[in-house]
Amino acid sequence: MVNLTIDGKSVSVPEGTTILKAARQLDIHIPTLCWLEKVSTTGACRVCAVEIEGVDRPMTACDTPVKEGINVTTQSEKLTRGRKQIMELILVNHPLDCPVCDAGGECDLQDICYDLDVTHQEFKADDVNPPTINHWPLIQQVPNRCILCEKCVKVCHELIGADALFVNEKGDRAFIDKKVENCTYCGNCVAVCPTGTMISKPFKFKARPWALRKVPSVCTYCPSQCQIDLNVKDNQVLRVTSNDEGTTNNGNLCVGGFFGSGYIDNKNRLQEPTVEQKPVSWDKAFERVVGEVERIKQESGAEAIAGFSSPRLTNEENYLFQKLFRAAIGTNNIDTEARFGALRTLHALNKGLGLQGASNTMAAIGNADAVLIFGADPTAEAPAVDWKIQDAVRRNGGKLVIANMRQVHLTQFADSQLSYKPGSEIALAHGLGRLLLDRGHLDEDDLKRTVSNLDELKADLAAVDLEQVIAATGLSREALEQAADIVGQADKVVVILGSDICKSASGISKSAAVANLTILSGALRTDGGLFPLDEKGNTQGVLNMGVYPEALPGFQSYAATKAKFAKAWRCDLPDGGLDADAILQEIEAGTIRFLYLAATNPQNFPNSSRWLKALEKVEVLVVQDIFPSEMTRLATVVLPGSSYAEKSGSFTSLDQTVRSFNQAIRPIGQSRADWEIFAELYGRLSKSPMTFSQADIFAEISELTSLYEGASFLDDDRRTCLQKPYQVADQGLQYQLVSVADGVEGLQLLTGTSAGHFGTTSTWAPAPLEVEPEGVLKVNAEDAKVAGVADGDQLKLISATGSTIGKILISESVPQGLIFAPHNFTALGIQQLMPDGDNLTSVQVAKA
Amino acid sequence: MFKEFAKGLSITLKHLLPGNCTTVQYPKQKLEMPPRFRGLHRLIPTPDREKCVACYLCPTVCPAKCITVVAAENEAGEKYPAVFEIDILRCIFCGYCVEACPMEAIEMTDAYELANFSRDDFHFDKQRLLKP
Ligand code: SF4
Ligand code: SF4
Ligand code: SF4
Ligand code: SF4
Ligand code: SF4
Ligand code: FES
Repeated sequence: MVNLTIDGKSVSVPEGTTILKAARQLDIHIPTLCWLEKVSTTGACRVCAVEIEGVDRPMTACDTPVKEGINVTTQSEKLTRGRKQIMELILVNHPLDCPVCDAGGECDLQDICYDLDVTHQEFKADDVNPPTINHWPLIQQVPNRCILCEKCVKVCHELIGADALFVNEKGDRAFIDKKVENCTYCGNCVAVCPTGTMISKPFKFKARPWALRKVPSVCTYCPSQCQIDLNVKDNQVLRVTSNDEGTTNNGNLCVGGFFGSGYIDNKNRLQEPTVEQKPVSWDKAFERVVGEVERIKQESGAEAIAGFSSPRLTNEENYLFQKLFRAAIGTNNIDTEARFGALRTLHALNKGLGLQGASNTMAAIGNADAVLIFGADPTAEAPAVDWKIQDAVRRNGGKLVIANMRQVHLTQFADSQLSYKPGSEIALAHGLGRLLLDRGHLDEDDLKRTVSNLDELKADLAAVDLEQVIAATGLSREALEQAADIVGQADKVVVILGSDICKSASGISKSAAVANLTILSGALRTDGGLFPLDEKGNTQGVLNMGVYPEALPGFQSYAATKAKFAKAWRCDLPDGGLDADAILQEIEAGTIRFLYLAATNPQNFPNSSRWLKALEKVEVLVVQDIFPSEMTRLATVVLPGSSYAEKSGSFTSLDQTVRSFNQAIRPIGQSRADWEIFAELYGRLSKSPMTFSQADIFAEISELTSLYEGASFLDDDRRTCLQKPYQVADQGLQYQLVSVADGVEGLQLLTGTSAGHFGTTSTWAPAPLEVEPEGVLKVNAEDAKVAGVADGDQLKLISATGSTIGKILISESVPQGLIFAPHNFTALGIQQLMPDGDNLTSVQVAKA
Repeated sequence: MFKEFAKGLSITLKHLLPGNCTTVQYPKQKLEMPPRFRGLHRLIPTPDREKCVACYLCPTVCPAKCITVVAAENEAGEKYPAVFEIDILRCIFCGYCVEACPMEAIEMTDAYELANFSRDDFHFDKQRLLKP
């Protein structure tokens, strides 16, 4: 600790602390302009200058570390004069067009000039007057207003790793320029710009900051669930901001969070209920749904009814949904799209590790010594996880191993990139496990304590044939050894697995293989962690709430805990229950006659054409959604639900943190909050009107499950509920025997999410759509040559189940023999080509 | 005492003489308002547009909250008020808007004859406010 005095007050701070931070501890305000806590110090503006006793010239507080015994003065006439002069110099040729500048009212330059009473300036210089840059998508740059603080450049490079912004030209001609092709449109440059230089085009001129009401909320696009503030005026969400302090995302957002809210008031939103495509009153629509449920129940029993809920809906809504179906309708045929992903991983993690999600909070990722990304592209699936990984790797000295078929955004920071052959995940996991053993990286004591079948583990590892692994994965022995060493030598290990694994038809085995590797890597020791990603906002919430036939809320086996719930709900609960695959078969067989789709569009399920064909046969189709689709066209009854901005509730993030948010605007048109719809149906069907409050449901969940036991509640704007890191019990882990699946042959098509879009919802938001208007197929140059297509050409893809045509982008990120296609675009319809529940398929290509 | 009384009365009588009457024969006759009189607002035009740049300061400062501004971007990329409306029924003629305006785009005229027949007539939109 270093002791010093600031303005007569003494303080002691750790060595290396800057004078600025020490002053903040004493609540002493020193003005800053170019300093931004979350990036490296620039030290360019000198507005933070302070006097140190015995030092001739003023020193910049933001980058001068404290020294023992120094005596600092932050306010003096001389300093004020100096600061004023700095501001006057900045104002030379500053346009001072505050009346038309969007920063007006939240501009640091304005604020400091006001504080220092800078009312005029005496300096003169030739006015370079650079022209406004208007051709960048979504962001306008007004160089005239720039103070060259470089905050934007630094967030772009240091936090997002996009490497898009740079300082062009020199001296008084210098301005911030952009390599547009590198920009991810995260909007962070706009957010950190202290002046009106970086302007968000969608928000431009819409409102003054002081006229906006900031409603604390949670971004629901991806499971990172960044903490945001919806900026509302006149029942419209005009922009989204996030605070640097007190948020897990440090105020950073991605294109979804920053620019993606435009779907909320999209004109195409469903605004009124319809029955047989004709607008009706809510009462009529409810009557029809209830009438059909009762009729079908009478004719064929409740087993003829099935429903899908969605990770787009809140925890409370998912809870109500399963209660509605199980208790009021009397069927356990409920599922969600997690069936084709997260549920598989859950199955494997639960069995092997006793985990129902991530083992630690996201903060652990940033402090990891080694991060192993397995079959995931965090930048696309959960951008905030990407930033945490960059924290670990670029700032905290951690190492990064990426096992992915493709090169991803994070590859540039990786110490080891294992681009394995498609379909060889299990072999790779086995190989890495064996190498951890061979190279002496296993923590024997820990394994002895935690693993229940250590002998089996040893025998299985001993049986791994590394030559076979090398052949199957197409990786060199050195590469594998290097990766194993990185993971093995690290103390705090974080393993991240993603959609390439869980969305594969053999996702259970693949996840089990990664679970084994997690055990061997030591990631379950307290400071590391295992993080399964899922690209949808509330997938964890869907699982927690038991919206799948095997379990009731809180991961309690349906068959075993049925009685407890039946008693609490005062009803009989049905036996059995069909999952998504079985529901599809029964629809095809004609035994399921009523299907309820809540915020679910099977057009985006793998093998979507099979789903579509089946749905045409359903006798009664009820669709509750916010946008029109093929489903609403087929629907008997359409119930317009609402977006998260229009309702209150809570979401559960990928690290199982529960955050609540409050309604920010009234529902659009006649649409209603989804929970209101479920509650109304529950009341009508059970003939006992249901009152609803978030607190009631929370109380009910707490009583019936152990989900929130041991969690700590923070008294913040979002009533955050944090889970404790997972403590492995003695013998609490089980090594699972996984047989190696066969490799695949020929040209493969892999689907996943695009980095610019989230589900299909963001394709209704104008801004993300502007930068990525259509789904593009990423093809390796060699494959393109064989097919005779060039960049930008149309390519036809044909698989066993369907075909489609899309524009191609020749990219080195995909290896020869692999085509990557985003599943976010209904127009591209890539899911028609996928086999049931799978994300990888053989395809043939032809020039279109 | 009588002297004082006569003096007072004489002043009164003097005012009764023609030419000394202070009553203005409105509406036949109208007063000229002093230059700082605060009457109906006027938006000042420039040759091709209004001077107002829709900075939102006047609606912010207005204590009666009777000014509605909606900013937009014109073809030249400039900020301009797509909507500028004053609900004169709510206006208290305080003149704060004029004081707040950084562009000297709004002034208060000497027009005070604002009576009208329907509520809508009291909504002064941009076109009406731009009239000289
Ligand atoms: S950057 Fe700040 S000081 Fe400059 S014009 Fe904009 S609001 Fe005014
Ligand atoms: S939007 Fe993001 S990626 Fe693009 S320039 Fe700004 S900070 Fe960089
Ligand atoms: S654009 Fe803004 S953040 Fe970037 S250097 Fe200029 S003033 Fe700073
Ligand atoms: S999409 Fe995910 S990473 Fe992006 S802002 Fe939203 S929660 Fe954060
Ligand atoms: S203050 Fe002046 S420039 Fe600003 S909106 Fe009012 S009239 Fe227009
Ligand atoms: S804030 Fe310290 S030099 Fe700019």
